[in-house]
Amino acid sequence: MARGDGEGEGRKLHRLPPGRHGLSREFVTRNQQERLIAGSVAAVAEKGFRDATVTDVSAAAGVSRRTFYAYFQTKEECFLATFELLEEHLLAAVAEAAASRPSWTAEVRARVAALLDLLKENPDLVRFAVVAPPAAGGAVMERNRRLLERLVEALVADAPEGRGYSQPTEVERHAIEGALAAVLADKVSDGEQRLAEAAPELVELVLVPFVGRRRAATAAAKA
Amino acid sequence: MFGARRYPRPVTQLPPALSSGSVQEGRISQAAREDERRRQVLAALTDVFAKRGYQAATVENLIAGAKISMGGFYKFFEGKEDCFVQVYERVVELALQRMRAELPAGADWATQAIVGTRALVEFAAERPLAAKVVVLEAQTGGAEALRRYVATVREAAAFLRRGREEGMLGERLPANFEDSTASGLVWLFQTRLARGGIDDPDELHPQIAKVVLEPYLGPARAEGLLRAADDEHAASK
Repeated sequence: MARGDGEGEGRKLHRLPPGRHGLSREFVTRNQQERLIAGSVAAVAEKGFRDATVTDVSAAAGVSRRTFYAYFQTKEECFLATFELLEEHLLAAVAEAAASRPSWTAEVRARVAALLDLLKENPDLVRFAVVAPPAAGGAVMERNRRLLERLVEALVADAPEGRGYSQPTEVERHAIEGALAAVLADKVSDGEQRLAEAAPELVELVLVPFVGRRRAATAAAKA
Repeated sequence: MFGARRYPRPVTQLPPALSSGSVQEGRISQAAREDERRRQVLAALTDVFAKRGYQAATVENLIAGAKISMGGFYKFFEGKEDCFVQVYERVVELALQRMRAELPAGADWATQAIVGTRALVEFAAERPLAAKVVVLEAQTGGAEALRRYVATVREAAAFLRRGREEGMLGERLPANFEDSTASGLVWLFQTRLARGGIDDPDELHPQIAKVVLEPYLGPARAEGLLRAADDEHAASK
């Protein structure tokens, strides 16, 4: 690893030992890239997309700016790569959670729980993906919109059709996305995180357009 | 629909007993001229902010778009941020005026909700640039703009919350239900405006009104009221 790496303060991540460590180039590459991604989450969570610099991201990742530029040409490129990886992880976790549940509403409950479990581990993910984008506008905000669309699609995947179920309108779908974003953002405001308590609220707001308020509230009470 | 929101207006006329005749009239017309000028400038600036985005727009872009001098710009505004805040307030006021104009006097909550959301959807469809300034650019427009934006969304949520007085259904709703609904609806406008605008206001409005009414009135009553309001609206057109 290059000498003279910036010291990340506070949020410093695990570093590889210096010198010959017998780790494959591929491993080092992946490790550095993942650290840069984690670094961008931490830096953006703290400063926002506009104010977080390449230096901030590199410092939080515990690598040099030179290393940063070996992987990304601009900070925007790094941020979008972070969105990609984050989305992949969130969607995979949500998809896996639904396996072998007795009912669709139980599936949705499990998916919401899996999502919150993942976000609870690192509330900065919410700050990066939900809280910070609106102030950035532009490509970042559009990426955030796409992430929320896919996330809601994943949460309500395989919704049954027919008796007792309705299909949400476009407005209802977007309303779920916006409400989901608002609830998550609210649960990480003022430096604290209260993500665990969001489960009933999220289950209810996701389910309402499909099963009506009464059944959604019943399912939420079990969340 | 956002309650009684008042903006300071310049006093343009004194009661006759207090007026001192011709001198006063001269002032009135000058004040009116300045008002009109200000209105034109703010309208031009709205387009510049919407097209370039708050962050990218420079003071040079703004004075070019509004066809004013640098000196004129700083006479009207303290700087870019202050300029944006004034543009923002003007658009909010225009949207509110539109809602007030369409609302029958003494309308109940449900009518306010239906007519108010229709006025908003039509406003956003007809004036996508102005709408963009309020729902998209306000979030990137600095601390004061963000504060006002958040306050506007809260007012919308407060209006929705009054729906709880309409019946028993509201009692079952989570405490911050209206905040989520308001955020969801703003999100919808943001998504539509960021992706090109609203070209189907007549299809969009009933869906929005449904999201607003249903939690408090239930599906059947919401649909009935909505249909009646739509018929009335169609007849008046």
